[in-house]
This record gives sequence, structure tokens and C-alpha cells, in this order.
Amino acid sequence: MRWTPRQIEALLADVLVPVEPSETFLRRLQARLVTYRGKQALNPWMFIIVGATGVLMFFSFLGLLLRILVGWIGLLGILGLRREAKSNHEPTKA
Amino acid sequence: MARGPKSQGSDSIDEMELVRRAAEDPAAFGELYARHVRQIYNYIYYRTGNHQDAEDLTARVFMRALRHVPTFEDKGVPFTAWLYRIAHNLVANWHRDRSRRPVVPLEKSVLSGGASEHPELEAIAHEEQDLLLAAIRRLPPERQELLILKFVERMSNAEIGKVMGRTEGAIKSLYHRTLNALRDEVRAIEREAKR
Repeated sequence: MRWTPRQIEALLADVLVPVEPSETFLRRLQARLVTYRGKQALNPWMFIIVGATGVLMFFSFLGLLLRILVGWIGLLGILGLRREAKSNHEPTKA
Repeated sequence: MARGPKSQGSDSIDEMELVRRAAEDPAAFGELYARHVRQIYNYIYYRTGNHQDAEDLTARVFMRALRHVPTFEDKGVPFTAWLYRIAHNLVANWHRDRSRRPVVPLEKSVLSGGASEHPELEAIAHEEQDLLLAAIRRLPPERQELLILKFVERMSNAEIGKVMGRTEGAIKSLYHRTLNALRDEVRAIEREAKR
């Protein structure tokens, strides 16, 4: 074969023909795209959930801090009372 | 089969409207997918030479397109060109990753098969087709792209120019150079086979 441009073009037209992807593949890919989009649609909800969790954790932490503070003040109070009681019982040196 | 660019002329406004809607509306992206999936699949199939990789890469093209469609800007370039660009990059990465492995020949299923009254003539025809496919695969990527768009997608030079970002004249010139290069490659393969 001499392979003239015309012959090559004619062969190209025979060789390079459209191929059809399988229907199963097309359906699966479409489903994947929809699922992916579905995941994206959750984003506002994810934002709300993360925000609410953050607020809850903040208040829990604040509660814990307050408890520690109250406990510390209580402990200081107890120690103060003990010290006071000790000083009351000690005999005074004349 | 949907032939995108051929039907895009009057639908181009609709297409851009669809692209804008696709950023938020799954149905609009679904419509874009239905319009272009076969074109992209064909392009990748002829660039990779097998259905399995064509399916894998086509899926990646559309997943990437879905992620980035909100950033798509209408600069007068058709949406198809954007998809082809994504496909081109993914195929280039695919070739780079496989560069150390042997090249897989294009599947026989693409060639016309079946029983024939003249098996010898058919065998010769298949041989020529195999030879041509081997020669095509030796061409630089942009020339392979041009041949696929011209023969598989049956695009005009102007349409190919839009997709490849060149003028119609440049495509015409590139096409003629591609035919000559293809002839040289075929002859080179024949010479190598005779040794």
C-alpha cells in the first residue's frame, strides 16, 4: 500500500469510529455523581451540627470551669475555717 | 449518539445556562453529563486504547467537573472544551504513570469484526487498521486529539479550533501535517516489521 493522504483518510474513517460505553457504566456513574451531589447537599447541615456541637462543648467547659472555681473557693473556705478553729484552741501565752 | 458540538450552535446559550445552574442544581449537571459523557468516553477510549481505563478516566473527568463547575467562567469557550481539557490532563497523567509499563494495544473490538465471505481480504484490512492505530498512538497527544475530534466526533475545523484553542486555519494546517506524520509513522512501522 502506498499510503497516500486520501487512503489514510479513508482508513481513518474506518478505524476511528464512535464507541458506545456500556449502559451499566453510564448508569453507575450518574448514580455516583448524584450521590456525590447528595453529600454536598449535607454541607449546611454539617455546618449546623458542628456549630451546635461547638456551642454545647463551650457551655460544658464553662460549667466545668465554674465547678472547679466553686470547689476551689469551698476548699479555701474549709482551710480558712480550720485555721481559724486551730488559732481559737491554741492557749494564749501570757 | 449525542454529538455535542454539532448540536451546540443554537443550544450554546442553553448550554451556558445549564452550566450556571449546574453549580447548584443536580438535574442541570445531569443534563450536561448526558450530553457529553459519550464524547468524553470516546476521546479517552482512543487515547488509552481500552474500555476499562476509559471508564475509570471518564468517571474521574465528570467527578472533577462536578467539583469545579461552580468556578467555570464563560469566556466564549464551549463547556465541551473545558471537559476535553480535563480529560486531556487526566490522560496525560495516565500515560505518565504507565510510561514504565508496556503499551497495551487498542482492543480488537473497535475494529469491524464478524464472519466474512473473504477472510483473507478482511485479514489484510485488519492488518492495515492495526498498523494505522499503532501509527496514531505514536503521534504527539495534540495530533491524536485532532484525529479523534475530526473522525470520531466528526467536528469541523472551526469546532476543533474552539476545543483546542486554535484558529480554524491552524487546525487545517495541523491536520495536513498530521496526515503526513501519520504516513511517515506507518512507513517506519513497516520498516521495523521487515527487519
